[in-house]
Amino acid sequence: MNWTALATSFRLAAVTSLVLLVVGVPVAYWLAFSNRRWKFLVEAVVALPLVLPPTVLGFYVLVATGPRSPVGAWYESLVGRGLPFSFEGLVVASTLYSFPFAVQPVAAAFGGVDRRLLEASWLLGVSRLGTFFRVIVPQSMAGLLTGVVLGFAHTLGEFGVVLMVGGNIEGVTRTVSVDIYEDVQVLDYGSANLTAGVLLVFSFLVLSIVYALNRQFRGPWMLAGPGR
Amino acid sequence: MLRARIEKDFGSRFSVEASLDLEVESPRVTVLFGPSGAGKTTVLRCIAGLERPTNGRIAFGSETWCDVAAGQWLPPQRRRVGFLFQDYALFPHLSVAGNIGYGIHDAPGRQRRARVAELARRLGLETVLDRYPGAISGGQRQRAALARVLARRPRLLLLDEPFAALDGGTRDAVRTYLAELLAEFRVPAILVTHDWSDALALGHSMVVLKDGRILQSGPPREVLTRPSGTEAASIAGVETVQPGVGRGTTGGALTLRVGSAEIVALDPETADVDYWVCIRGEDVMLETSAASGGSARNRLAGTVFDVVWKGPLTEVKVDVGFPLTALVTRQSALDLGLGPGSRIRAVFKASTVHLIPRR
Repeated sequence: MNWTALATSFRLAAVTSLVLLVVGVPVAYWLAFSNRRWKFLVEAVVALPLVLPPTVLGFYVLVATGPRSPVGAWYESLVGRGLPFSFEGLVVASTLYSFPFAVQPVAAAFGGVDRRLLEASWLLGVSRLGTFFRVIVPQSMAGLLTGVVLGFAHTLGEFGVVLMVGGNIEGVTRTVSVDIYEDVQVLDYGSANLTAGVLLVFSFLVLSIVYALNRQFRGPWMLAGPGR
Repeated sequence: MLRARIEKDFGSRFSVEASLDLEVESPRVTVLFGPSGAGKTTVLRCIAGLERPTNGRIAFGSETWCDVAAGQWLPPQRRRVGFLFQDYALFPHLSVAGNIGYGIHDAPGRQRRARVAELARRLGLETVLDRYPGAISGGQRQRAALARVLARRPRLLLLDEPFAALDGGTRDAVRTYLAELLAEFRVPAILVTHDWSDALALGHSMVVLKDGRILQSGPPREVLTRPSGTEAASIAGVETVQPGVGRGTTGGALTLRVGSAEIVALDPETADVDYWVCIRGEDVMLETSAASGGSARNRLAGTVFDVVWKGPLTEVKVDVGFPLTALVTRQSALDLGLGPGSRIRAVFKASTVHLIPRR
């Protein structure tokens, strides 16, 4: 059982969830409320990680952030070291990889808010941003929670992208999934079994809590019946 | 003065073109009247700023709210109008108090609480302030929505079919109540409805819309009794609208004095005494003999003073102590030999008399 790898995984998942929240919520808002004709293209791009092999995604992230790419060169001149094979590189890759898992439930929740409530809020003098925080967010708590937790759990379980972008550096980029692979490679089935078990139990617990909370999280107003 | 020239295209199939000049200096109620799909709600939403006209201009006093040609647009947040949605649109995650105080969020806490308490008291919501909209009755929800809108002291109130979700009896009571409230808060209002009795009970003026066009406008009683053209008549036509005074009830029937005649209507069971007595022309039968058979309670003798031939139907105006209009077929009118000066008896059932409280 490699505790360092477990800690790395958790740290990665936590940071990625935070980034997903900051970047994903505006994108979800746009997806839910925009009526641009080319919205479907953005939807397709956001959903890409669902169908692409992690190696493909990882490959492109690696190329895009490498020292020969403008982005990679700019980052290296700024920070002093490159993104690939670093924890920060992993965060970038994980964010992209878990993006649809976090964005889709949030966008669905935003889109499910009755449009009349938004109009009522505007007519009561409250700005669009104010309406977002005072009407949309309180009514989308279940979706937001689901998005964050799915993003967290999905990051915790990723393997291909980590291996492509992060490599396998103990304490920096070696996550639990990579650690299990290592164990199996050296025929240490005992250690692999233990780590896999921990990950399985943890994932099950997290998902159970999310689903249980989702039932509760409709808020006190729902207990009185479905009225508005 | 609210001046609105609104053009709104909905693809090639439907468009709305309306031009309105409304007095909003005094607490007047203007009724936008028409069948569903006439474009009433579109006009209301354009005035509110929820919908952008394809073309046109909307000005409120000296403020320009919308001028498509000049590219001017004032967002709904800054128009300070109150909009009462048909389904009330209360925030389900906020208590009744939270809903009422929603639009005065920026006011200092004490001031806000005082305003919420004042409105709750005026609208009878004190006992449900802590409840959520899902846990109160339909009438309470409507009052909560009204309180939420009034809390901001709007300059103009827009009411979208406020009685649509209520049944007959409640409807009359809420109508009376709303009329009082509008007068008390001294706020001008535009009310959208497809029920002519709403127009008569609440409206100071009335605009008839159909297929996105204005057919007629004027004081409700005039528009209802003198519809311009057959289209307006088929939507709004109530040929007889007369003031009446209740005289007493017997066995579920109310006797009313109308002009110099007495008629019988179903007892509306309200505390009112003054009514608009509304009788549709097709509900009035004409007889030449004094036969007293039949179950109709109202049999009034009178003299014909006008006969208007309108295609297959003929409008016969009879003075029975008040001017009463009957709609009969052309053939009946010929058979009865009707002309000005004919003595006739007008017959109509008490249940066809529609009473609307008058104030």
